[in-house]
Amino acid sequence: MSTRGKYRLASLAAAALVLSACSSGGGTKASSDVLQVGSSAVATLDYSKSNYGYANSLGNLVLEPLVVTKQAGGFGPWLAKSWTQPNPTTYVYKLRTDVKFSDGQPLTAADVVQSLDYYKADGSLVAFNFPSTLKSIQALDSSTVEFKFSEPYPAWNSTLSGAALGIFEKKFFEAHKSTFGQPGTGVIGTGPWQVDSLDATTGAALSANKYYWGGKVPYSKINFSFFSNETNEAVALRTGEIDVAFPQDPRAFASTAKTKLTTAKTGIDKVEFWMNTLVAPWNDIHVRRAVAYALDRNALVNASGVVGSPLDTVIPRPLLLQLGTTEQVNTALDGLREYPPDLTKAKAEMAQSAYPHGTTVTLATVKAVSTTSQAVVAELSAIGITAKLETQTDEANNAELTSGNREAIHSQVVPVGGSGIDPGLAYDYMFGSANAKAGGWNGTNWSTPEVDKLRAEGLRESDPAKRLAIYAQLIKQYADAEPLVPLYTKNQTVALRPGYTWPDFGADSLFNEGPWPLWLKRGQ
Amino acid sequence: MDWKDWATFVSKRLAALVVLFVVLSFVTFALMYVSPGTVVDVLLAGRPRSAATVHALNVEYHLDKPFMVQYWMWVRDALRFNFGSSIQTTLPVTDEIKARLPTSLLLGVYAYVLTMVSGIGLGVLAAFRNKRAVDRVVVAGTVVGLSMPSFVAGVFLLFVFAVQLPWFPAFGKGDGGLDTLWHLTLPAVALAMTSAAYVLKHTRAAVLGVLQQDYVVFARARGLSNGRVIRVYVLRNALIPILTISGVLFSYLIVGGVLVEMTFSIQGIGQLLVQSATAKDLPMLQGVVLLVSAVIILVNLLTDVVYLIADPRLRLKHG
Repeated sequence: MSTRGKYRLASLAAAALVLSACSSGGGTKASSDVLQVGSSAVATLDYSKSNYGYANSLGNLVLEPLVVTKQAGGFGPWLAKSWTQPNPTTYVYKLRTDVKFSDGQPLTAADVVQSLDYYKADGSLVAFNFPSTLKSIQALDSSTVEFKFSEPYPAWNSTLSGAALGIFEKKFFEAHKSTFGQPGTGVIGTGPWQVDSLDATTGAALSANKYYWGGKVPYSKINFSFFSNETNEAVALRTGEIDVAFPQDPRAFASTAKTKLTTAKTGIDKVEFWMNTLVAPWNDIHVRRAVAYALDRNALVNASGVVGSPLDTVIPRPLLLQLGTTEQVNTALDGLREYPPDLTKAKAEMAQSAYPHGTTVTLATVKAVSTTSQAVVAELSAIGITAKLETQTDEANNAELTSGNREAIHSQVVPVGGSGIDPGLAYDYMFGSANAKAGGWNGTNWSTPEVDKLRAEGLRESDPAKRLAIYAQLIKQYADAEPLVPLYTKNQTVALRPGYTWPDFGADSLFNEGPWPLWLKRGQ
Repeated sequence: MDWKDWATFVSKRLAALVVLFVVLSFVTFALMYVSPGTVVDVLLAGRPRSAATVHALNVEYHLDKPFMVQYWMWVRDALRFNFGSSIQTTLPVTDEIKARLPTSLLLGVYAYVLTMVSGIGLGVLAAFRNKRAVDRVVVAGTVVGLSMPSFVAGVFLLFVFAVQLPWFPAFGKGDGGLDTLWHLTLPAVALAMTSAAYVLKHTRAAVLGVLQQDYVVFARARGLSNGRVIRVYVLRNALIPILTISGVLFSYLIVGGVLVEMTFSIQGIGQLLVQSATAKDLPMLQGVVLLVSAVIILVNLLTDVVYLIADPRLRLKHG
């Protein structure tokens, strides 16, 4: 062949290569039995060491909890088939005997003890889940675990259902202590899928656990792709390169992806306006009440860009439904001081305050709530409060809110994460005088002896009706003093490619009803 | 310049690199130390924290020790090439960098090739077609390229070539080989647009300048072919200043593509730098800062060496 002929042949081959690449479209299209999931990056599955990608739900498919929350309320069995409370301070969990880890080894009580002891250790980033009243975790036999407390702790099931407390295999952990959870080592769990590969720079590949106790799983493989930003993730959903995503900025995501999101009715993460009651003008109750009347929750939800539900109580009403019916909750909250948006009342409260002609304040804000903060500044101006926003990094803000210099804490719009779904436990870390000092998260610095008493009683009390009465009382105390204005809950959303549905997507289904792809329907 | 001059020149630059490492690592350490919040605030974020957990983390990351002791501990390990583990991901710093460096290098080289080929090619073309339609179109394109931030170009390319015409993937770095080239094409084009416009502008100006030189007129008068005049007399002289800026551009394209990396979800060195800075991940930040400074200094050194080779007048001066 002549030189010119060789060049022509090479050119044709190159063109064919390019065309074949281009013709396959903009990415890997999923086969029906492979699920493609978009997520933020995950670097390790050891949640005691890193919160990098903590809330992304990958580990939840591999490591399972002892119990799960039910959509209808309450808790259901998962790795534990039953539980009893032989005395007020002891909880005994009986494990299923048909559960195997993905390497074929049976689940034993020793695995559970090892996992929870590891998560509980000092320095663990998930140690906050365990109350100081927990005295021991013990294996009574190969399938029975006993938890002993120094006082009753009715929220224990809520703790055990947590996303970051999945049970791993003790033997594997002991053999890989230094690299446990990291790429190349991973974890061994009982979940419906096992990790085949994990690369923090690209994604993770999961395949079905052939020993799964729950039977055949709906997807033989699940591929996680890690994204640096949600715009790119939305484009990938639009081009069909991923099937599922859990956006944090849902409205922008839906717009870019040209898709309609599936949204939960409520959520346990909320946004509040905290006023530092140690300093002026926030130490004036009339100013605080004026602010509560001035802030329009519906308008703030719209301004925020999230999918949310306006809040009127410091503990969201849906959480109280674990303790009673809607009617019982409403009855318990009868007499609650309410603050519907009302500029006339807001101005009247300001007129009664020490600042009848208005005042100037500085509010802190962080990126996550910056648009809400700007909307709050605009609404406060209507009652004569001129607010300047000081933007802080998350770390600086965390440091300020938990510092020992409590007077220095700025009033601000705060994203508040719920620690589980128990109504008492979820936000306990921001209530009471114990949390209004160095290390504590009570940024309002407001508390009373009555609040401290209610807080302690609520966590000790086992009777749901009595707990409901306690928390209703706590909510009323907050509404009377109004050290903070509950603004809205951030409701979980999921974006699905056409052909997928998630019929029972609820407030906590992502993390607490067991491995979420089990509920994801295809071809409907 | 004899070999001794070369050795002195290179060893001086390498010594400067060591001094720069010390200064940069100290300044980075100090800035992280004085900025509000600590690693504990990053790790525990908005979660409840017990005194025991805070204490354990302070001890683990030596935050309970004075500043200079902390810095010395880092230096001591770094001298043994132990840069520690990332606080945020728990993975060794060297592993994290190794996982990202090839992608950044490939993306940088890809964008560099696109920059130089299109920038020099169109620059020469525009200069030779000075004040004609081709020149005007190219110059207008240069203005667009220089004005458009790389992430805007990235989003535009994504919309056109990943969404409307699904020819390229929307994200990621691919699975190696041709797949990686395919994945990195749109990011490389986005990254190269501004730098190519910059090179084009300089090339056009340099070529126009050389074309007016007496030696070019004389070469033509001697009856040399047009191709030989362009190759030997015009390009060789015009490209010397381009050589200088190409080194700077090469460093920028390797370590400065953070916005493009973000746009296409490519985990590269740029993103790692930003992530580690925002998360106060000091071991990782120190590692990346040293790497970035090494890349910049070594590329500059390489550029100077090539510059010396290309321009005999400079060799004479150094000699």
